[in-house]
Amino acid sequence: MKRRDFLVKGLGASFAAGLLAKHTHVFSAESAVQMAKDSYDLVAVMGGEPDVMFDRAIAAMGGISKYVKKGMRVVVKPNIGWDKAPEYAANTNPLLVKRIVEHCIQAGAKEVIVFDNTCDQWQRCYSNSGIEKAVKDAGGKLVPGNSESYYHSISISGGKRLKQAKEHEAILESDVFINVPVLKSHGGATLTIAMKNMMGIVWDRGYWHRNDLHQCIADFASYRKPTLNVIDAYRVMKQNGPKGVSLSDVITMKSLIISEDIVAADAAAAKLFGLNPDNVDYIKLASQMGIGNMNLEKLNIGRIKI
Amino acid sequence: MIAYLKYIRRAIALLFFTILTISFIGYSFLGLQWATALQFIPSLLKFFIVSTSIGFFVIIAITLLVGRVYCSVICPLGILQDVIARIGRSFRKLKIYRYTRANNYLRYGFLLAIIISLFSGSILAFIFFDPYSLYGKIASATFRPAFILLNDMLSKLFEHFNIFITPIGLKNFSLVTFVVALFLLVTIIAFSYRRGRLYCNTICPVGTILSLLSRISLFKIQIQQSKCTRCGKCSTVCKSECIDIRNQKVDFDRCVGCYNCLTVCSENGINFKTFETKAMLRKIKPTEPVNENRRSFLGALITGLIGTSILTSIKAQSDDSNYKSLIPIKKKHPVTPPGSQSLAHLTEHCTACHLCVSQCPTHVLKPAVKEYGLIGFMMPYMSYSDSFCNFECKICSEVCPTGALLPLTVEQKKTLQIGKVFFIKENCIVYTSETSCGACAEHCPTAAVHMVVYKGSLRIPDTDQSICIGCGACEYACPAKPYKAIYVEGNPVHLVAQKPKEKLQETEAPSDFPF
Repeated sequence: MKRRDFLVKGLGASFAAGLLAKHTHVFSAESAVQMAKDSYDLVAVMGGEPDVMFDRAIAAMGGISKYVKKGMRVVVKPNIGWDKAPEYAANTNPLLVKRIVEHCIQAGAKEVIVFDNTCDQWQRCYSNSGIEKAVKDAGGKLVPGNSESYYHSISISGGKRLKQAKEHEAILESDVFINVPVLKSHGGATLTIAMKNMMGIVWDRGYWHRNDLHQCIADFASYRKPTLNVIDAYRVMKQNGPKGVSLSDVITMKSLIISEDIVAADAAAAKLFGLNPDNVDYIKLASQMGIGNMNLEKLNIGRIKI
Repeated sequence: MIAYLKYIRRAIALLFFTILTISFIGYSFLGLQWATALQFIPSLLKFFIVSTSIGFFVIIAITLLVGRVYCSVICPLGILQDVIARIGRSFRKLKIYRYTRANNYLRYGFLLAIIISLFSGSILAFIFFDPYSLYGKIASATFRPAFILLNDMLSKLFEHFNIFITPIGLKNFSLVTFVVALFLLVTIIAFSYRRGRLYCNTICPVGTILSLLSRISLFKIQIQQSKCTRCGKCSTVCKSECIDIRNQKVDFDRCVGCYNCLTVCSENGINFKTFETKAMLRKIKPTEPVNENRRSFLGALITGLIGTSILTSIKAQSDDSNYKSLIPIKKKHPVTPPGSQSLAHLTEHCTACHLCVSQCPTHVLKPAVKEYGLIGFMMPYMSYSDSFCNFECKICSEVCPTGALLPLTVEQKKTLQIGKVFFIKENCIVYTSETSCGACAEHCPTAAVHMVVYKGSLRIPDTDQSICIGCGACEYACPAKPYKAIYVEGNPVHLVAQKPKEKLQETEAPSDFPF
């Protein structure tokens, strides 16, 4: 019954987000020299615990209140795809998720919803990833993504291969969407970072796999731009991703990347992983489509070492 | 005290019924292991594999002591019939039961036929006549879908009022099993509505075995002729129709121990009495011609069986992709559930109670229709079209009451090879469309399916059967249509896979920002 409402709201939100992004961009270009903190396109942090790194990163971006206003509905979308314990780095670090939810609630968010359309059995994923407890402790709300009834049709006007998808109503109803992927190797997509993480907010992923995965990932990113992308690179799965087999697949990087630009965030994370972003097709495609900027030299990057 | 026996019976029966029904609907419930360990046929079957399975022995002991209490208190089908009969009586004009003579030819004939059929090596007779397994099928294939459907509908409805109920979804629904179970349910309803415990005293093999044992029970319910006024109240409440008030005799063979008669008698004229040899010897075995109705019931059952096995489920196919995979998959062996040891072990021990099907959290276990052939009709198999087996889950092996699935540890489960992966390159999207995919490798828990360099930056799946456990994640995830490009071929005898290889990291974490 609310599908039309969803659409209107969704469009409104993305329009607003677009305006905001444009505005800040112009703003930063005008006074890039004087403006130190507020004008970063991307902030990277290294050497701290996940929660501490987020505190520093979001402060450098201008604080959470720049994004989350009182009474807003926030969705925090981590990667909770797998029935794996946190140390296997198959899912986003629960401590990071917890800290983000806490920030949003402090900023006066009406509600903070967390979910993923998981690959393994969803209750086991939510519980064994440690994210269920983290979200509850922080005062957020965990909702399921296991049923098609939660997803509503949207159309992607700028999509080349992906023209339609079904998107989770939590995103459609949200004012703020914080994308919180974990950086991992990926057998099919080379790497899974921020753009790939959005496969967890749609229903039929099989279509993407059948119809040029890289192009579909880029297509969807042209439609849905998260308010903020926070990339967890505290523990990084370097091989056998995205599910992983053993702890020897994982190295500790103690890093975090944050950006409004999803393409820039993915490009920086790819470099951190040790790959040239040019070798990750969907990053290149998204950059060509003008979704974001993969050319890190053109960006104002804040670097924080703890 | 005696007058309260009925209420004690009801309370215990309700407990068993609740535990089993909730479990068959798909929730875990405390005491399930106990409730199933006391089921006669399952525990007897398990005894030949696991010597500690002595539930049937406990039932025999109870029967030798006080008669067929099992039928009223532990057997879920028996309790279901009581519930139906109780509700039925309130609708019927004729609210009383009448004494009928025992149908001995029929009941012993059935028992003999079942025993003979078991010697033929097929357990099919238990699939259709073991009362616990019958109830399991009915609850799992009719109550469970109904419950899930209701839950999911309410979930949608309440969403409008901002009340959130998690939808469950039903992946392992089998139409054929539903039809069979519905038929069985309707039959049981008809039997119990009209004649109380008729099923238990004419068809049920457990009922017949226990009735033979109850002939020598230490304590029996009997009419005390000195006190009896022949008012006949006891006879009118007897669901087994076994109280002959004219001759003041109780046919204790058929008594299921509901104790309604004890409660209703104001004269204390019907009560437990110790074993009396003479009374037993004097008992006559009345004969009755074979009832045409029952014969037609059997005929209908068999026709239904054959008819339903012909039916196959038809799946809708969407045509979203611009190519089609061409090579159909032909599995030589279906994949049997973890803990089933082998195809032979499963088909020799499973009574298709569907407890594993109900309890499976990923709904990967589905009742077979044609997969195993007639010998394994309705037994569980791993259906990878809509789901796959969770790497660390072993619930099915733990709940199985018959020993068809034997318990596994998590460590055993992780290397238990129930099947092996096969890759059909010609069906693979990477090969046909030359675009990236990797959905199979993505889901593989052991990296038995992994991506290797194909053309340029493209990578294609490669398989290593030695570390494959046959969980079906790859087959489930494969988006190729209509035929999958990767599938699991069942191991007719389960094997042990090698542990996944651990490759040490060559790279180290960067010490500074690479940008």
